[in-house]
Amino acid sequence: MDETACLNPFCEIEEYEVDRKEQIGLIINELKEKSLSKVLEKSKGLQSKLSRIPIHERLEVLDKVGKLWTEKLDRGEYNKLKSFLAKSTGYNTQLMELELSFVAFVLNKENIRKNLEYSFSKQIEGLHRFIEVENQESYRFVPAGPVVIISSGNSLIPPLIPTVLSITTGNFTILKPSISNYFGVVEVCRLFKEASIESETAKLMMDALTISYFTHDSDNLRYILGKAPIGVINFWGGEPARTYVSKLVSENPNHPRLLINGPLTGVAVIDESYSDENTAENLALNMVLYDQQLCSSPTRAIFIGGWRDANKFAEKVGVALNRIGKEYPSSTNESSIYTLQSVRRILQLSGSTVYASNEAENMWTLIVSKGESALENVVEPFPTFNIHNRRRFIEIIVIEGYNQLYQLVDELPINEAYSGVDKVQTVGLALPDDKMEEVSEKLTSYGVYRIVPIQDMSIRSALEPYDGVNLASFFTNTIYLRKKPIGW
Amino acid sequence: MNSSEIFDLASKSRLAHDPYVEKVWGLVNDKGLFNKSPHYLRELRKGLLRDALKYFAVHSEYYAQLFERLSINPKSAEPSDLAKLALPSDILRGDGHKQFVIKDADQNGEYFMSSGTTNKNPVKIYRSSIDLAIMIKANTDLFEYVYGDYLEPAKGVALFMAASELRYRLNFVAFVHLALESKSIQLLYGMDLKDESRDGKPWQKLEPNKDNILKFLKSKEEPKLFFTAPAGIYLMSKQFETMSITKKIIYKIASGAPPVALGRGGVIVTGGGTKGFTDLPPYDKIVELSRKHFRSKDRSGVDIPVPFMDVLGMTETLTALIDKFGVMDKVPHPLSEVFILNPKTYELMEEEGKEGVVGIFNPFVTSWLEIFYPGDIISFHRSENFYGSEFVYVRRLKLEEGWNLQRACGGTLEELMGRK
Repeated sequence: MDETACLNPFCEIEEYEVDRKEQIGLIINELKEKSLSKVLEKSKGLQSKLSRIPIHERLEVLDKVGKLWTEKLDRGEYNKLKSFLAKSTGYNTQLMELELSFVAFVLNKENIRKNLEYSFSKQIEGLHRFIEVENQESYRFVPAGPVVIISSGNSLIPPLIPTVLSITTGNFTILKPSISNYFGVVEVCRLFKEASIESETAKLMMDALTISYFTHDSDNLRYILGKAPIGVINFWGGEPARTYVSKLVSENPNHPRLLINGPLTGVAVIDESYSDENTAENLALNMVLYDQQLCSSPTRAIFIGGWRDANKFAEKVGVALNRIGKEYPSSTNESSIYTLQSVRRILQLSGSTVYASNEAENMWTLIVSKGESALENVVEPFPTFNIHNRRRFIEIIVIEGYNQLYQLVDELPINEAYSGVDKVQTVGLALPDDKMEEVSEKLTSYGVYRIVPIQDMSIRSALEPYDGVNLASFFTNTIYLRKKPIGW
Repeated sequence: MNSSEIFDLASKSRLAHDPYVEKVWGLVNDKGLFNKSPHYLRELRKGLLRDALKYFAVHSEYYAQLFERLSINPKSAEPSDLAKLALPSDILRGDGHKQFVIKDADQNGEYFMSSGTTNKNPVKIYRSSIDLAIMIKANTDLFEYVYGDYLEPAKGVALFMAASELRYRLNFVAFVHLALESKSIQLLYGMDLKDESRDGKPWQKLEPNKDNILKFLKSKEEPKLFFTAPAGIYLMSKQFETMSITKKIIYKIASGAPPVALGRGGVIVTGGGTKGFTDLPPYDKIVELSRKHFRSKDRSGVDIPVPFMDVLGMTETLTALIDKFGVMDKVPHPLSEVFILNPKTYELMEEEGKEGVVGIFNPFVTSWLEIFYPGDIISFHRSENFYGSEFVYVRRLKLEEGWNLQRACGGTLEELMGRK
């Protein structure tokens, strides 16, 4: 893949200049401040045009891009990209295949429509005209941008989600993907060019999108965050980048709105009466998909029931992991094996029960601990065994009653073993019906964002907010119009 | 404590009359162990493993519960159980060792720490007086076996390129100091510890003690035993190699060297790892270079290439593994069980020549169950010696810190996250 050696900007609106840099064997051509300034000069006009186009036309363009993607994917045109992304993101090709098939879902018009409807109280026409919400009182949702998105590098989908919503809501959008997913993101966005042959709207949407990589010490990035006339900045990630970005944004005289989607994780909750093969299979699948690197991935399980039942359940999860894990082979180096094997021993010596596989391509580990987490004890001697490096590894904490459950969700972010995680995003439940409501209600007091069935913790419904926020609303300003005085 | 005080305290210890401790002490004092067959010693060690597990189960609730959890019955334990019991040395960093020391252990012992070359938080090990007494006996016997001769008391002189203060900190220095002291062999420290308040590792604050080095070089005592890190002998030899003729003459007049005459029975003993020197040549090249500038004789006074011994002694092992260059690869004390773990599964591996993770069980340690793996790669080959095998040190396990991937969901500004 010759072109992969060079991260070129995607910018169709303007002739541009770049600063050439090198990083981990790649050439990075990042957009210069001068060029960024030029494209931003055109952004207001573009936003104005785009936000007058009926929303359904914009949705059609995205749908078309999604279809083009699927056609090419089916013809095998992205096979090279698949292998490249597998290498750059560290995931296996099987998972990358799944990931590429998700692109069309992100671009699907019905999915986006649903998300917009729940973000704008079913008034999505307000995205191109005033909608009367009460007698003589109207709303109009206008772009709050230009929007800058600094996206995550976990895989291909996370940068596409906010980008699609930002463009759909009429924003001029500058996207900085990660090095690891850069080529995938650009490949998707290139399809706007193809779609624009037959559609002016597609051309307009393509012009409203600029993609460039910027190194963290880049003057061009400092310009965008700290000086440029930006309306919204959406940052996905944790420290130290989060603080770095926040400081720069706070200095920007244009006072852009800043939305940070910080690092989060998932917790699975299993009642012993639901600890069957099916639940075990579901937990195993969610552990294997994306190697627990999603904000929704279960990295802790809480088992409500007896010690013996918990161990029986762990055995079932082990059986499922043996099977599912083999379908998504992973690689582990000498250093990680040493750490993993040592951690397993320490936990076993400290009283936890350890179930594990030593299969080179599927090294899973289940730790069953009584009442509280034992994981914190291993992080001091093995600081590298942090949440970012734990793969196919979960601690099942066994508790007797539901009361302890909330404490275990609450304490997770301050547990050293979860250092770097802001809080629990997703709780995946496998509970009897009579417990579902009570547990869900109580969990709302512990900062969680999603409460879902255990089987599809990683799957997002089209109408879901993102970490407690409706992104589409965040990317817009609501203009209020009142035609008649309401009087004093 | 000096060696006499150690022996004195050990004899008065509460544990001194425990049947297991008495058995171990008796065995450690039996020099005939080095003449036994590998089979005899294997069986002896198997018996000691079972006795050790019984001893620790009796003296500590923690160990009793541990054996139960791991389904190990002390009465029928097998060497294969060592793979289950071995601790990673990283758990012994900081105060990690405390949890494994039995409550009955004497409180009047000493602590040793690793140099901190591989990790900021050093391994810290407590040694009771009994363990220290065993350390002196066992290491001296092993040293003499590899050296190939008996070190006559009060004869000869040793130079250790370390500072005397490190005797109470670094295991290797204590090994040498106490062994020589118990033999009344004069030990000179070739380095001084400067400005302890400065940050950094102790061995980075060392400066040569020229008086002691000169004293050693000029001494007519025999044998001359020169203890140093590989980097020390390499740098010294390199210095001789690159010296101008004028400087060489001046140095020769002042010290009698180069070449350095180690006399009858003279030997160079290396140990302590690379100490962070990354550009050291391979060990055989260091030996080759050093032999140009150091001379030695055998017992009858015939010139021989200067013998090199290398000590592999981690902080957490009471006794070392020692080799003699060109004569034998590394051998442990006859009572030490050295085992190799498969680097993928961490199960016992017994294939000759195959590289694996080294584990050590020292059944003669009485204050904690000393079964550990320090994170080094080693291989073994069969041998005619008492142990039936010799070990070849391959390398330290390379521990990568790993990409600190940020979630939510991934790594934004990834180069800012770096590799910590």
